[in-house]
Amino acid sequence: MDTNDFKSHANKDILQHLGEELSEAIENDPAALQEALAENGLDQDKLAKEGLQFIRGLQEKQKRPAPLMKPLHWPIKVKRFVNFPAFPRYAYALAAMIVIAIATWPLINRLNPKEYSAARGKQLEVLLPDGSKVKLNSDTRLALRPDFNKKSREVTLTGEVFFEVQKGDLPFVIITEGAVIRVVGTRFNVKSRQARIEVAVSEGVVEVASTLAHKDSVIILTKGQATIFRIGESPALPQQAHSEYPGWISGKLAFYQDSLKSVVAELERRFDVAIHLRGDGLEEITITGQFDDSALDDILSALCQLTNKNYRKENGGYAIY
Amino acid sequence: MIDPEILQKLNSQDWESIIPRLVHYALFRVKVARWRGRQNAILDLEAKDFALKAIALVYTGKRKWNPDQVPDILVYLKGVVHSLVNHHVQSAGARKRQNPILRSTDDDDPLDPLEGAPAQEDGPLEELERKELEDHLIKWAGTEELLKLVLKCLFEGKKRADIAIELNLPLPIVDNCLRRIRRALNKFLDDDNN
Repeated sequence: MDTNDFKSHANKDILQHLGEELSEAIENDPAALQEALAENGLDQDKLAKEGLQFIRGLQEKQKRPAPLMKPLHWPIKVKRFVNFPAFPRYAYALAAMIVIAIATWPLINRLNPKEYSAARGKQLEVLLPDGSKVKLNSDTRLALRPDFNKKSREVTLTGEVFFEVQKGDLPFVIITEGAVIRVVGTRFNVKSRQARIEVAVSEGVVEVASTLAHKDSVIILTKGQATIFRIGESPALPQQAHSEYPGWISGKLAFYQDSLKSVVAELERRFDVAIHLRGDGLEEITITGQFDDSALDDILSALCQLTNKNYRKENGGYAIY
Repeated sequence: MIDPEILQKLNSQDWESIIPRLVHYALFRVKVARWRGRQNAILDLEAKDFALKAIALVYTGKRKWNPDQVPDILVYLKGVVHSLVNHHVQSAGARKRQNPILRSTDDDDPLDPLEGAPAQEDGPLEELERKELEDHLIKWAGTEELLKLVLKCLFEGKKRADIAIELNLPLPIVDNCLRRIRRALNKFLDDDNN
């Protein structure tokens, strides 16, 4: 398709057409709709609330058909089999509601969790209500919006998660500090730690937007591509991801031009142990390599060979010097 | 008087989700009307007013929604909003031309959206406006080929799903382009209106 000849196809009702198509693209995306309304000084929740109130007024105005028979009126007399103490009725109702709420709360909470977390040294696999599978790496928290899978599929991430998103009408949106990632159905990894964001796609297409940089700093990643950027910067142009990336989901620890400081932070999270760097310039050494994540001593030994350093056990943890 | 069956269907709609989307649509219609140089005609009504008025017209049965013909109430309401904005602009224009003592005050009876708004034949002024808009968007797209391709499809009158098929792209990518175009278009309309 030649992009230089489109003026010749100019449509007569272009503004109406643009209005409909552009609105539809926004309206199908809850986050984009909220943003678009906010740009015009409108609060989506407040708008919905005001509108609902308006509609309730309209509903009340509708004439009700005349009742065919006289309605029953409370109180209907019921014979008492047990003589309860003479508390007001609402006191019994209130007490019953409190008992039911206390009894069912743990069950409701378990059936409908809103937040998942993997502690240091642990990993966690979860099936989300929409059928998407997520695997949380160590020291990670994933929170679901209360209306997840009803009006949106929006999650907030701190840490690192591998997503297998189930296809659906609602876009799957991941919000992390400094970035928003939107997808429809795909497999990909998002890592957001220490003001650095990594997104790598194993399957499908993902849109990555930096929320703290310029508005239009959006890139599209397809299968096998990855981007790395710091919070506040625009996402770097897509690069070819290493075939083993992300290693952690298959029991590996993979690093690509990572500083020794971030490698050590990753090991601390993975093995829930303290590792100190003793020596000038150690933190800045860059590491590229892949390790089996089963034995920390083997990894430390390999790291020391790569960096020409040594390690020792120290106060229940380790030190590299 | 509204048909009880239609009333029941209206009551079962997810209004919490519909209202913000309808207001968003009305915002664009108002911006376009203002951009077309009829600011004075609609300064007294905002997008939210048009959206709520459209809902009220359907709820009171003045606008008859036929779910068999238009199953999606939002689509129908958008038509009502479009009709209301056009009617409001035209009424204001007519009021200006008429003797204020003799003018009609009834502006609650716009055309039924299903019958369509009156065909607005483009005069030389509208041609110039549209050309200005097109030139601006072409210039804005610059060297971004993907945006230019999506714009071309839009100018050809294609819908978003058809654009995705035409360009062999996933819908989220097309939507991303449309969102960017929407921002550019809104900015253009706002800048001009201000």
